[in-house]
Amino acid sequence: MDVANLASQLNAGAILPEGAVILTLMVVLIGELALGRASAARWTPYVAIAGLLLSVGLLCLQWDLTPTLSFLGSFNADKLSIVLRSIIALSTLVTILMSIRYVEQAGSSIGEFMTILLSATVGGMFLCGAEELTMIFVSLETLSIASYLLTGYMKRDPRSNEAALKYLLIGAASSAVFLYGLSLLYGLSGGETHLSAIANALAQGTNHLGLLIALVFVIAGISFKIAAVPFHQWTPDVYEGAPTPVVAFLSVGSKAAGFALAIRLLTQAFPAVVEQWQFIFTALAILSMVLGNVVAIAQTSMKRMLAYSSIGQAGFVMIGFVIGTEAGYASMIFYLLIYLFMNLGAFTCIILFALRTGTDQISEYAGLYQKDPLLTLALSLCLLSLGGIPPLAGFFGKIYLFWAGWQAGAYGLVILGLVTSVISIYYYIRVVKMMVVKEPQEMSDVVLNYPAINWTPLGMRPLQVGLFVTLIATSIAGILSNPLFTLVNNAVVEVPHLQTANAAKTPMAILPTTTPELPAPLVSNSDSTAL
Amino acid sequence: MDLATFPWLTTIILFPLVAAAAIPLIPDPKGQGRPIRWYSLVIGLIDFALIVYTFSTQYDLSSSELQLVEVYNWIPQLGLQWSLGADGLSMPLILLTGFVTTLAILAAWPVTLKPRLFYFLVLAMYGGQIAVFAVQDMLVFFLVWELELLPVYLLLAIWGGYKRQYAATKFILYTAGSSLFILVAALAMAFYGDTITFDMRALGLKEFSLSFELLVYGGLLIAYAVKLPIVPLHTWLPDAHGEATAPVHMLLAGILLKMGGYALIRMNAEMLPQAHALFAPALVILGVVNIIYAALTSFAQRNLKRKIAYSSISHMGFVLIGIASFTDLGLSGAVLQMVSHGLIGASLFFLVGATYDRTHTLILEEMGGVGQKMPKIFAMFTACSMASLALPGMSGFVAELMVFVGFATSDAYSLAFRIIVVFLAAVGVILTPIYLLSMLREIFYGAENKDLTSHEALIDAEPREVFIIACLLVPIIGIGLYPKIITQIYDAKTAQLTLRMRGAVPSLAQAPVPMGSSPAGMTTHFYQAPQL
Amino acid sequence: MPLEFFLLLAAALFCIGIYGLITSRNAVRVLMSVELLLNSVNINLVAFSNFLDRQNINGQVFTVFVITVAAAEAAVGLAIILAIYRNRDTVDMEQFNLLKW
Repeated sequence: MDVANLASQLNAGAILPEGAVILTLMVVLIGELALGRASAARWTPYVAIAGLLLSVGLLCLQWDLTPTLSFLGSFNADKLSIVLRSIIALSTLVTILMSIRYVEQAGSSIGEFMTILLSATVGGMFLCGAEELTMIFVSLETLSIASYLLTGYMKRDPRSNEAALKYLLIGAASSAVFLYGLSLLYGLSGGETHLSAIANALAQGTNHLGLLIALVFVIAGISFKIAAVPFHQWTPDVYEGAPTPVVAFLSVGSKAAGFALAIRLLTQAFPAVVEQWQFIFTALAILSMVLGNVVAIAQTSMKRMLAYSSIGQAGFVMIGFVIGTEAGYASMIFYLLIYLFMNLGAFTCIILFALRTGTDQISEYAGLYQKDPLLTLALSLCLLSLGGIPPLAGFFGKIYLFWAGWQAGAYGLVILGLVTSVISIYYYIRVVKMMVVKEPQEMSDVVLNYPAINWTPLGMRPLQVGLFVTLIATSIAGILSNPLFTLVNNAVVEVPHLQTANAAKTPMAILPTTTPELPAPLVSNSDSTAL
Repeated sequence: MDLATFPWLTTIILFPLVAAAAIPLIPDPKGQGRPIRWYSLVIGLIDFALIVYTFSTQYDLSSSELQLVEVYNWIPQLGLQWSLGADGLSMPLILLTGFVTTLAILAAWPVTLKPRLFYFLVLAMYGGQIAVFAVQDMLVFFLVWELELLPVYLLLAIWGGYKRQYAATKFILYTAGSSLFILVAALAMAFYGDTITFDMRALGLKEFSLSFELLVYGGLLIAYAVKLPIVPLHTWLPDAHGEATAPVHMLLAGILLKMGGYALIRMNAEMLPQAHALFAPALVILGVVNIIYAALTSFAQRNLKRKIAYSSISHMGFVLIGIASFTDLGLSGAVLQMVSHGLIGASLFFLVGATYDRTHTLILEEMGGVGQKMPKIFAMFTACSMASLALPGMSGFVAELMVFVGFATSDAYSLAFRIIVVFLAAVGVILTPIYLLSMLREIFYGAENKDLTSHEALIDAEPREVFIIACLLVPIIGIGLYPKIITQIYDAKTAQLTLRMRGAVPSLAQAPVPMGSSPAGMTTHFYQAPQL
Repeated sequence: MPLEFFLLLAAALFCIGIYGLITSRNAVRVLMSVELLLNSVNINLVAFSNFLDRQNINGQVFTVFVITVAAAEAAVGLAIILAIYRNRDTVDMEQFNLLKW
């Protein structure tokens, strides 16, 4: 077998987007070493942005290719992975836009920050397509270790240190537990490491107890990554202590990677115990929605509030996951996509506020509308979108989740989701009230001394771009969401194991466009082609 | 451009929304909001003109069917359609919305605090409220219903009175909480059976089981009971109305409450007739409780705004009785009561605001004897109170009479029940003049409060205020003298709807609609009105 | 020797690791407990590989990766502990209370 033959068998083209990110990473790293920190600060972020744009562009080009397994079945570049990889790359992109000024003002080196952030991105992107246990583990750890470093990036700040240490210890322990689960899976399947092979091997076996133990360990690891209650303990602390752009990345990119892992691993390797894992995730979803949204009410720090809110949001996403229908998975990815913009938009706003005032207490936002209407508008829209107020994007995301949930008969979950999202409206609107409703005389001190709005310092322009991009996406992605729906549906439809997971639940037909002359023809269940 | 196929309703809905989005771009050199005010007023007038034009040229009065239908696929994966249409139920309320909102913009002339935001929110509500009445897709209905949430919240919380933030938070929690029921009901109905559809007419054709209908009906009733409001769920309203500023008040009383009544007829009565047949007596009892309880509570209020707010609740009781009467006349009266109260409520609340601007108090004890200094406001206040207490010749009287006659002649209830209900409701009707007239006495006559009357701010109504009230009084008296101008819009629809509702009651299914109870017959009988 | 013995050893090591994780106050000891957890996984993998997968020895390859990643993790962990020691002069877990749970 010569080299060319091997290369063609590997299908290395499938990881071109990751290749672009790795290349960027090398350029940034070596460039900073060669040219020095001061000059690197001016160009490395833009190189990183260009690299990520290239990567997203390559992902778009791959959309129409027939999905192939590459690297001897270790990596699956199907449409599902393309969408999820794009989510992660985009989240890094927006994170970079918002971090340039932040890192600059903190006096740290931007080049190193970019390098670590890009490594985390590479890890996350590989995780989305990983189909083999070793691959899963290595990419998961790449993401995790880079995240620990990012969390502790402000190395003179004891809070950042402490957050990093807590994150590292809990994270390392949870990945060890996860790994223990993987090792059991390897043993139970009789020495297979590819997910599909494991599923085949397990289908013949009857050792359900062993499988359940492996399942519990694996779920513990995944839940840590997506911060599902009760594996959420690290979230508020890390969110509060870590640099804000890192929090933004953790809450979107890292979480999306966690969900990608959940979809691949659980649906593909555990079809034998599908009811059990759906049951466990139902419990996690309920706990996350209730605890995340209720505890968020009591928070006084914006970052901590967003931390708990992101726990609650993960609970909503899990609704789509546990019902196990095609629409469920599609709605889940759709929500992640929407969540990317609205959550990163909110983080961009609080970074901007913190850069100008140096605080993130909710009470300090009082009366901001008078001083900075643009920031007020952007933060209000992002928070309201997170709360699910129409016609913002978050509303459509939630509607789709609840729609899919109701279709699958998960009435209780949907109603609980609705109730908790009303609770969430309460704490999101509290911030909006703080900014918009307060009278000039009720203004907080920092807002009274609010600096003149100035977009010229280094790194402010990218922040502004990030703000506008997320703001526009949050405002109109919902109303014009038809292409996005098509996208996520296509992504899910072509993944075979997502269909087999719940073959029993046949979707109903959607009534076609009703003509003005009723009665419209009712499409019966048998010739259902919709969805 | 083909006039018949032009998307009129979409234009009417989107025009104010798009115009609102342009507000931040308007230059405002003095910071007082003068250009923005004029801009909003012009937008309001243009949209109202569009509504009137559409109504007069594109709308067929004699048809009970949905007209001006527009259906566009929005998100086909969810079965979500941007589907609009207007029938006899929607059209009068759309006209009312255009009319009252435009006047509210004019009424908001003195608002100088954050003018951009204010007019942005008012215009956003303009489009949103028309959408509520025109949308024919359950999921989009929920969307536009929720769309009201934030503008009203901010309008209450920023421009309201002393306890405004409490009132606004209470409003949003009540409304957001109750609107969950709409979404759950929409999902439940859409997924019932073999097909998924959110189209209201298609849902109306679905054959639901009785227990399912009852559950959905109950859920929707809670949602709309908060909005209408119906008594145990009304507590947000006095707070919200007690704190709102005059133009916001006009919107709340004039239009927002009507959303509840409209949805109750559109969904509960029309789509779930079986459950409606069983729930109807409960609606009647709730209606009577509304009338009596709110009237009695209004008595005890010493705050002018809260007094009028409770009187609003009391009037909404008639809507409930009308909906549950199973007669053409009763239902017709219910719709008329909504339109009529929209006008009367808006005018009364506007006058309360105008009085407050001068006296700077809402407590009745602190007023008194201001009638001499403000004769025009006094006259207008009296006229509007008369309309509210259902003086013959004004719209409130016709509406309430239609409900009474419709219910009294209803063959759906036993004679004893009908007598008791009519008697109790009549007690409520008698209470209304007592508290309204004593309110007038306390404000305008009585011992003069020297501090107040000698104050130089106590000037009489300016032309703008007289104009607004005149605009509102013209239709009030017009409807009172010749109700057919409104009833003809929806006669066909209510007749068809009554038949559908009666069809679900076994004892009424075959019986003819009681004679002499058609609105056309009654109006000619009572008024000998000349035919147009 | 049967496979069960190795699995039991790994499970025991895993439990010791968890115990150490929960009870240790010193951050370095917590890190060592994590290494213990990873080593129990390694024993598992090697044992399975030896008994079930003699052809491909996937498990042993996996173990090499686990050892490598564990080294990276330990390096990062020690770096963070070093940073925190410089700022706070302690590595006692009980003292790290700037962030409330």
